[in-house]
Amino acid sequence: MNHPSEQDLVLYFYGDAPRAAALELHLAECRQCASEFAQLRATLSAIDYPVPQRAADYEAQLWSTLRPHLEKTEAPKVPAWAALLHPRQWAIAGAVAALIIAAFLAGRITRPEKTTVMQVVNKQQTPGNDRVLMVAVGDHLDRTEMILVELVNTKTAGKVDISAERDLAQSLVNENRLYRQTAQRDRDPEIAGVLDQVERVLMDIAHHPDSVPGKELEDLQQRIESQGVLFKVRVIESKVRARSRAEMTQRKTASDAKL
Amino acid sequence: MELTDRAAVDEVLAGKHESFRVLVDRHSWKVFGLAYRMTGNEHDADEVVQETFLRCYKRLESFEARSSFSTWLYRIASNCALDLLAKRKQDKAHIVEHDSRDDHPNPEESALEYASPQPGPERMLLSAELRQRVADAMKRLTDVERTAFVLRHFEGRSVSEIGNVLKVKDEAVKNTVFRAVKKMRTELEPLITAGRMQGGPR
Repeated sequence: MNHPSEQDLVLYFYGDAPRAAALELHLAECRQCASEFAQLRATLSAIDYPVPQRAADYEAQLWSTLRPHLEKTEAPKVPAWAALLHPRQWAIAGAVAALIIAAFLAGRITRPEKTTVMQVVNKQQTPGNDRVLMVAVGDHLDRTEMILVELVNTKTAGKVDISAERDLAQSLVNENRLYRQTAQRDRDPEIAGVLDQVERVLMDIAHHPDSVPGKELEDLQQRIESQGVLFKVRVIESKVRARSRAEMTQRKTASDAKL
Repeated sequence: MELTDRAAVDEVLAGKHESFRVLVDRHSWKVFGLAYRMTGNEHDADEVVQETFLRCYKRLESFEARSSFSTWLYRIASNCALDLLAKRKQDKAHIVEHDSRDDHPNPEESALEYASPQPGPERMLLSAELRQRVADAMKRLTDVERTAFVLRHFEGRSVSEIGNVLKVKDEAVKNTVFRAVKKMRTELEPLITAGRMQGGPR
């Protein structure tokens, strides 16, 4: 094999290298790479950040702190409809739901003029699809919010490495596009509008290099802040979550009625 | 027989709320470790631990049997820690307080103060200098890089578990861990190499 890259060696150190056997063979034969790996291993092995000891009764203390708060909190209960499902059936239900979403989105986007998968699903009156989709959109907005918060709070002094946020933004752009197009077709202008703005911001972030000068980051922060994207994402996220909960309650009521 | 996590969750959901204590007893120390390494100080870590278990209790209904409870809890804990880090960055008063208390040489860099761990028997092998440099290097990671690095390097969580926590694909996790490692190496390698040449642990 060719000489492994530094990233290959890091993956190998953590046991994540896809072709570990070939890399191991190479390290046995190539002194230069073996030496490089030895240095990497020595450094990473020396990185420790010990956790301070807690009191012997730490768990008991924590419980006594938590308990009054928990008593004030509404106690969690098994959703009635969920109790009907065995854990294994849960996994199957999850897989089916994922397939429905994928088919639904694919159908909507690739064959807009024909009968969409969602229309078939609606005809069959399968409950819960909206909730599953809402949960997925909620999670997507949650991830988007994480990136925006981090970028807005990054210091703008000197050259700033934003590659982590950039990569995350790149991974979210396509997903965002699917959700936006779905919202547009479902005639949900509020969600579609915010997702449209989010998409532009994500693409803006995704097109940046690994590092940017402080001034450039400051401009990006201003663009995010001036549009109020972060606030809108939070508002829509909470609406989406509320809608998902409402759907869940509706299903629970329907399930209780059947019992 | 000791309750499994799943059985404890089922008991809480069935109305036996005291069973939540089984989960607190079993996981609080690990959650504290994660929170401490992410936030860098005991006070914030304690806050993250409490918030994690409160959120966990409130959301217990949404825990799905197909995932491991500890992975799910780690996800909540990481998010709580990220939320706290974001809050601390915005909290100017906190920064000022830390800067003046710790007499940090470069106030511009102390948005997040990483406390050096208190010395203990098992830590004597690490020199004070290396400990401080590790703390400083972690401070320079972004929140996402720090989360990925802490979970992979210290907590030994798999790439897919970290992806589940950060809600990104495996490749993105690998890239993020790599970037964190590169930064840590840049900061620490000269010191560690010098220590090895002197023939002793630093």
